[in-house]
Amino acid sequence: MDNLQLFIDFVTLQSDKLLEQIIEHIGLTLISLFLAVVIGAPLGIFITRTKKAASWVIGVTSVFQTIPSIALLGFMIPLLGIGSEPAILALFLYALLPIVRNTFIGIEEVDSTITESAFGVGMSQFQVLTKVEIPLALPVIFGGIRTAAVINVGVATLASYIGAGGLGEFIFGGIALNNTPMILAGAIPAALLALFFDGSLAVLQRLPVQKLKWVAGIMLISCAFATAYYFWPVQQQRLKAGFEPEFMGRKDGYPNLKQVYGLDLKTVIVGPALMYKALDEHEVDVISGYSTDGRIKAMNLRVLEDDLESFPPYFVSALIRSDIITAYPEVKTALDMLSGKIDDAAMTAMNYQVDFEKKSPRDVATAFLKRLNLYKMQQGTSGSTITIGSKIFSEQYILAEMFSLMIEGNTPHKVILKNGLGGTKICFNALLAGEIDIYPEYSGTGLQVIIQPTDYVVKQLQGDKEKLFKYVANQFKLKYQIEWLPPLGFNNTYALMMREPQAANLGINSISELKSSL
Amino acid sequence: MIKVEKLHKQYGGLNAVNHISFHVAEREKLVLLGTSGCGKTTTLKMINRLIEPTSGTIEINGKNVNHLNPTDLRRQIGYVIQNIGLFPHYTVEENIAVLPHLLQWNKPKIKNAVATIMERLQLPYDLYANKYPAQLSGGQQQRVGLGRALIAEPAVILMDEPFGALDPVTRATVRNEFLQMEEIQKKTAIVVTHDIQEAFEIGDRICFMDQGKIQQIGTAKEFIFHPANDFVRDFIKDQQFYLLLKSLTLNDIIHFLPQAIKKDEGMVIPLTESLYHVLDKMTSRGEDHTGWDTKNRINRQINFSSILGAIAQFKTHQSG
Ligand SMILES: Nc1ncnc2c1ncn2[C@@H]1O[C@H](COP(=O)(O)OP(=O)(O)OP(=O)(O)O)[C@@H](O)[C@H]1O
Ligand SMILES: [Mg+2]
Repeated sequence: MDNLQLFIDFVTLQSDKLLEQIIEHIGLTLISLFLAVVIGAPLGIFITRTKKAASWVIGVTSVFQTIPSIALLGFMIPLLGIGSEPAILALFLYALLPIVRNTFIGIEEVDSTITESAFGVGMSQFQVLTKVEIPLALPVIFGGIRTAAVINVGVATLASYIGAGGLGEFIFGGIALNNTPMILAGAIPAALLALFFDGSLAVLQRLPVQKLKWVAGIMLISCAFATAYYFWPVQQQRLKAGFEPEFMGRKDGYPNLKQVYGLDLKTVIVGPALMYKALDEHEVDVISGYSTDGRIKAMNLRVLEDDLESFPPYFVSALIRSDIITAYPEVKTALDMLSGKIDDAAMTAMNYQVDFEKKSPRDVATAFLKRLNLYKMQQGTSGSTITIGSKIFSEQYILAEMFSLMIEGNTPHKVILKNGLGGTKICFNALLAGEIDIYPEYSGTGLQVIIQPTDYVVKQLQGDKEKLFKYVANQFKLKYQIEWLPPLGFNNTYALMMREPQAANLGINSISELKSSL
Repeated sequence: MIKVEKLHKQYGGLNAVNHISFHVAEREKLVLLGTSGCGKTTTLKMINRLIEPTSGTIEINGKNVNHLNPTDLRRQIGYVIQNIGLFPHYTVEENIAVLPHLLQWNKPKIKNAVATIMERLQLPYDLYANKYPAQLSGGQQQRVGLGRALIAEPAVILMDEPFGALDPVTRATVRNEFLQMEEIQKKTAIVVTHDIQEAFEIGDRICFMDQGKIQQIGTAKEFIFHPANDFVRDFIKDQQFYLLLKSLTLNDIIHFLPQAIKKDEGMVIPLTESLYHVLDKMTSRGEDHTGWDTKNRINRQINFSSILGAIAQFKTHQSG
């Protein structure tokens, strides 16, 4: 009941944004589908005439389909940058296979006596195709288009990772921010859209061929309009920002930045994994990262000074379920040895080694522990199994390895790593559910994403990271029976970054200067 | 009208049609007869260029078909395909009207032509025009197929087993109606069948094929009295008597029939009537008739025994 109310409130409050996302989503799906039909259907027909090309063409289109969506979107960035174009191209490639294959099969399956009698009465090749083969293959072709439409509605959610908008903004923003109403506000319309597309294509399919021609004409014109609308050159601001969904939504992220600096950038939402790539490819000029990120050095980025202190510093430590501490106190003892041992420089250096020098997180963690004389050989595997999780970036991988080495070196337990879990919500839920026992987390994230306190509480805690950490630790213990171990030492905070040459060129060193340069 | 010279079609190592030659005169009906796989369909399809021959020439009205545009050629030749091949997404009317549409006739003309041909084929327009092929019986479908081939009044029609889907009784009826049709009688036609009786019924001449080669080409009588080889003889052996009665007319045996005792007694039977018909009539109306024709006023005694006797004498006369 409560949840339903929250959902309704969210949708009412965000109705403008929701409508915009739905329109973007429909636009992405329809345009890519339209292109896939316009190119795929003739291609399917073509390969019925030249059988040699058939297996080749179908093979290549199948390959596109097997490329994971995020990877395909990643490949698109160097080619087409970020935004609608690469998203539409990727969706187009996904839609191609079902349409090409079904057109091919549909026409191949037309009874040969029927085509023969069509030739026999004196139809030309073209007439046989348009009057006999295509009409008879239409149900199968439509089946392909329907499959493609449903696939595209689903994959289009991922378009939000490369700044193409759509309902993915709510879905992935909601996942990043642990906001269920937000997830649903994206997921429910997406599901309805899939049903809607499938249903309306099914209705179209039943229309007689004569009417279908009209519908096809109308579709063609409206798609042309949609395309024009999409690619109409909008007034470009000089600098474009690409922020990940969590930063966009968190109170201590972009909303606070806007408030403190009065900054109003042109922003696009980009997936965390693709953000640095987009900056590197000059697709965006400013991104949101972490102060300790190794890619800062690796990619020659300039961190803009937070001169008005918009981003509060946060501690990092291991989150561990209380029942694990009770059952295996030695695990806590082992991890406590890391307390205060890693400073900012050390963490940044380790991230750099992984991000730029391509060393494995385990080697980097081992070398670090050896330097501090904390490294010990594995004791044995006589004890229980402890599972450690991590989010999907280098710092988390390194910390997870370090925890693992400490536990295996100082206790008889053995460790399983579950690396690369999507985001805060996924890690936290996995921890609650007992899927993992430990993962590295940031106090600010714990506060903003998990506890989600009132503005009053936030104000009380602002500027005092020790106090904030204690508050968060207490809340976690009370609400979730999860403990924060003593902080590892380094601070981690959000940071805005730009490409060094561009920042130097524009003379931007701080966020204030960024603001005044706009 | 149609001239086929040394026509040859090879599929891999198989000679599907092996250097065959024949002519078809204007308005003549030539039947291609032979067992399954002997090359009948292949021959027919080479004539309207659905299949390109390996070698050989085909002329229609003195024009080599290879010099004509295949589409134009096919529009001038009615074609009834072996498996009917109606367009399942078209109504009966649309199926029949395919070629008129391609030829861009005006609408009233098309409708008129469709209605006329449907009445001829015993498919009342009001009942069937808007039905789809799936809603018709096999025989009705076959008639629609005939309608589609005949509507644009081609001078030449090619028919591949046009009555194949019909049961023997309907088959005979439809065939007879079909042969009575003025549209058919005017036309030059090549008709494929593997049914001997049907071949003798339809064909002015019969082209009997086996394994891609022509075994014999000629009229029914030539087949019965002068089979070209043992293979032909064997093929028609079982049906010999039936074919004899079908192909001989009173005229053929008139000299072997005894004079009538009384003049102008009994029924008058035209001399052009086949013996099969004559015997058929006698079975239903009783024996003893006089056969005569108006020109020669010939009176002959006609009953079962006189006819059988005459046939026997005719046969010895033929072979002697
Ligand atoms: N496309 C083809 N490829 C290879 N062989 C073929 C092809 N079409 C026909 N044949 C062969 O050519 C021969 C003649 O075929 P055709 O269809 O002309 O026979 P038909 O006399 O019409 O037989 P039916 O009475 O069964 O219709 C057959 O042996 C057949 O297997
Ligand atoms: Mg055949």
